[in-house]
Formats: sequence, structure tokens, C-alpha cells
Amino acid sequence: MNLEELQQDFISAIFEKNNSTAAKHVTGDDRLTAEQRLGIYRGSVHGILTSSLGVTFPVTKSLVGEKFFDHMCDVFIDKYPPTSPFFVKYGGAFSEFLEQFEPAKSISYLSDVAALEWARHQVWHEVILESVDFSEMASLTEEEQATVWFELKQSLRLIESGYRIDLIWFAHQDGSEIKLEDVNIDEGVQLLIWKGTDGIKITQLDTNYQDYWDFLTAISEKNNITQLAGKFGEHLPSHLNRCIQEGWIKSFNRN
Amino acid sequence: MGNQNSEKTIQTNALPTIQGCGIGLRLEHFDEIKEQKPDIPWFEILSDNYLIEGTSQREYLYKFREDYPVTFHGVGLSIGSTDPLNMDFLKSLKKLKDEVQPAWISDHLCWTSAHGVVTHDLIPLPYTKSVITHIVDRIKQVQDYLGEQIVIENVSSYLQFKDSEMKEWDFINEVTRKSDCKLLLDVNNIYVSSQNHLFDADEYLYAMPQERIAEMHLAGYEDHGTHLLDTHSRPVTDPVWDLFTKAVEHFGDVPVLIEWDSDIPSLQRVMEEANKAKAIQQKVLPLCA
Ligand SMILES: [Fe+2]
Repeated sequence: MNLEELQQDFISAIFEKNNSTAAKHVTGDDRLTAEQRLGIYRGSVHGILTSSLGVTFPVTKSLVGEKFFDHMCDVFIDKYPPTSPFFVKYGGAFSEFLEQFEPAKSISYLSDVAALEWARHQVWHEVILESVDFSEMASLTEEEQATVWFELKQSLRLIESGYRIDLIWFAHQDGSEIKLEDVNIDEGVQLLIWKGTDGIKITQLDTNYQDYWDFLTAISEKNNITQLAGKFGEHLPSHLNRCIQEGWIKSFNRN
Repeated sequence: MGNQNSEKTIQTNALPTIQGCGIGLRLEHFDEIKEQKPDIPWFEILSDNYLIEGTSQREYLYKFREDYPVTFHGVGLSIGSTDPLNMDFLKSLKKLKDEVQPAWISDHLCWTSAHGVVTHDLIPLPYTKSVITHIVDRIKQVQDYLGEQIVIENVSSYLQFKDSEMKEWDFINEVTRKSDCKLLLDVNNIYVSSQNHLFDADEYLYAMPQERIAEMHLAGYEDHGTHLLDTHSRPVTDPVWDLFTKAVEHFGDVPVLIEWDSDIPSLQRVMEEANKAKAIQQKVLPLCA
């Protein structure tokens, strides 16, 4: 017996519908055939993963209903089986999968809502790092300051959509006063998902923080102060101050 | 810069004593436990869920640990896999162990991942001499890395492999003896497998190596007609209580833990199950003394 081969066949039986190869290794009896016994494991693994996806993507789930969600998960799990023992890492490809998933295409914003939920999930599991003391920048020479670039906190994600996925998300929260039928969801939105000391926040950048989407994007692309000044001119100091005050920027670097 | 590298120091006794009937710590009961500090001798935490540093869950655990002794219970070790041991996973586990100081670390005698794919489920092994050699080697590697004996649990199963050369209980005996690890005896798993594979649960139970048993598990299964499914979603059933009574008579005073992982009821309800186990211990143990 080759254990490696047996495990490969078993994995195929769990993540592909065909389990005839794996069945060769398994004893069947008059209660359950070898294939049926393997089917118990396929069902159990899919059950574990579907319920974990349901916890990570609750709004996506309620948008399509439990039955259809389970079906989507079933197809997704076979296509993208987990590859990490860290449970929280499972589901990163779900939004991308939904974008291509033909039966779900009638809900055009579904994949973007899933992307928002994944961003919240990721941010939730990120460490809130303390920021460095930015006043130390004052000790740099002007020449040194010109090459400084900033690093955003890991506990922060930028998400853009052609739909008001923020309102869709809020409308599905307990006690929400937002009613989906009252809002125009066909509007684009730029969001910052971030972890504050009192929980996960979804901040709409285009109205409350004009310009900040471009600014945070430029920072995430490691633009230095000179480049930022070229793009944001006189607004640079106030933008920078505000981002530092909100705790979005972790540190400054030079090289 | 930042606090991510700071060493955690937790106000605890260095080596927690684990006694009596504990329960598995679940997210659903976090707030209640924090507020009420119920009289529960110890908790088992699902260590895989706390491996990421800096998360709110991990912070909760640091605080929690100041009030209760804990044991670690995991699924991710995949001790029976033919893939190399996942060193990232082990490294995280060791860091968590150093910070939280569990009384012991347990995982399952099975495989959960292979060929780079992780099932997050407990899949049985063929019971052969070559598999024993493979597993013993891996348990030793893990024990060397963690610097302590680990505790390995017998799993429920729904199938048997044609290549098996011995009984499951002989396999467990050989693996634990050769790797010099401890055993977490899940009484419910013995019962579930005995019904699924039509063997005598008592024969299995009495064959277990008494000196290696660190802990026992109790949980509830679902009856699917053709087979019992180990779901941890129900109260412990009567035949499992009977088997547990025999286990206490035979193995004496071993810490026991209630596992309830889906359709999780109130903390009070889980504690009732723990009290039932405690009552059996109290009834049986003086007779054994
Ligand atoms: Fe168990």
C-alpha cells in the first residue's frame, strides 16, 4: 500500500465528484458501499467549509438565500479547495469566483459585496500596529524628507465598486434603518475598510474624504513626499495630517 | 516600533493542573464567561483559531488564561499526512504555547491535508506497520520541536481501508508506545466507530494503554440510519455515558471534557453535561479507590 497515493485518491474523492479511484482502497458492506462511505467524507468536508464561508460572507449569503449559497459554495469548494491549515485564510477567491459564476450573474453586485466582506474579514484578523512617532520626521534634513515614503497599516483595505456595496452591507445589519428599496445602489463608491480600537469601520472616501482614495492609493504605491507633493500640491500637509490622526499610516521610511 | 514583537507575560501558575470535568471554550460563550467567571475547572481551546497574533480572539485568550487553566486542541497538525510537516503552523503553535502555557497540546491520530490541499476534517488512516513507522517519526519530530510530549486523540470514522493489517486499538497502542506520546481517549468516537464498523466498543476501550491516557472526551453524534456522524452537535447519548462509566471504572480519575461545536447551546446547558460526567466520576471513583 502506498499512503501517498491513497491520500491523493482520497483528496480527489472529496474535491471532485468522481470517487471510483478512491473506492478501490475502501471496504464496503451491505449497509454502505465504498463510494457511499467516501461520500460521507465529501459531505462532511463540504459542510465544514460551507459553514465557514457562511460565517465569512453572511450578507452574500442572505442576498442569494441559503439554498443557492450552499450550491455556490459546493462548486467553489471543488474549484478552490483550501490550501492552508489556518482556517481564516479560506475564501479569498470567493469574490473572484462569483464574478465568473454564471448562475449568479443576475445579481451584478454580488461579487463586490463578497469582496467587501472578505476585506472586513481580513482586517478583523490583522494586528492593530501602533504608529511610529511622526514628529521624528522633523529631525530629517529637507533633502532627506523629500525621499520619505509612508506605509499604511495592514489593518486597512481599499475597495472600489460600481455599486453602493456599503449601503447593501449596512442594510443587512441587525437594526439597520437603511432600506435597500429607498437607495440608488447603481452608484460607484470608494471605500476604506479599517480596524479601529472599537471595531471594523467602513468609510466612504469619495464624499466624506474627497481626494483620499487617490491619496491612500498613492501611499500604498510607495510614492515619496516629492511625488505626493506633485500630485496633491497644497493639500499634502492636511491630507497627511488627517491620515496620521486617523491612524491609517503606520510608519515613514527612507531609502 | 509597534507592539507586535513584545513578549507576552501572563499571570498564571507555570504548570496548570487539569482536574475534573472541563468544557471546550467557544466564541459563543466568551462574553458570558468573562462576566460570570463560572466555576469550571479548565477549558480546552481550539488552538488553530488562536494562532494569528494580534487578533481580538488572541487578546481575549490572554485575559481568559489569567482566570482558567487551558489545554490546546487542534486539527491542523495532520500528523498522518505524507506532506512535510507544516513548519509555519508548528512555529505559530509553539509561540502560542509559550505565551499561554497550556497543560498540554493535543491533535488527532488521522490526516487532514495532503498534496497541498487541506480538508479541515479528520480522515482516518490505514492501520498498517508502515503507517505506524511514518506516524511515529512525525510525532517524534513534533515533540522534539515543541519540547514536550503531545497528546493524540482517536477519531471517529465512517470507512475502513482494505489495506489495514490490524485493529484500530492495536494501531493506537503501537503508535503511542513507539512515539512515547500521550493519549486523548474520545469515548464518543469509540462508540461511533463501533457502530459504523460493527466492533465491540468494550474490547476497544479495555485495550487502551491506561498509563498514557491524559484526558477523555465526550460529545454527541447524529444518527443517520446507515451510520452515526460525529457532529458534536448534541447531548451525550446513553450508550456513550455507559461506555464512559466503564472507562472511569477502568482508568480511574482522568480529566474529562465536553465538546460541543455546532448548534451550540447556552453555557449553562454545556455545564450540565459536564456536571453529569462529574456525577459519574464521583459515583464510580470511591468504589475504585
Ligand atoms: Fe474529541
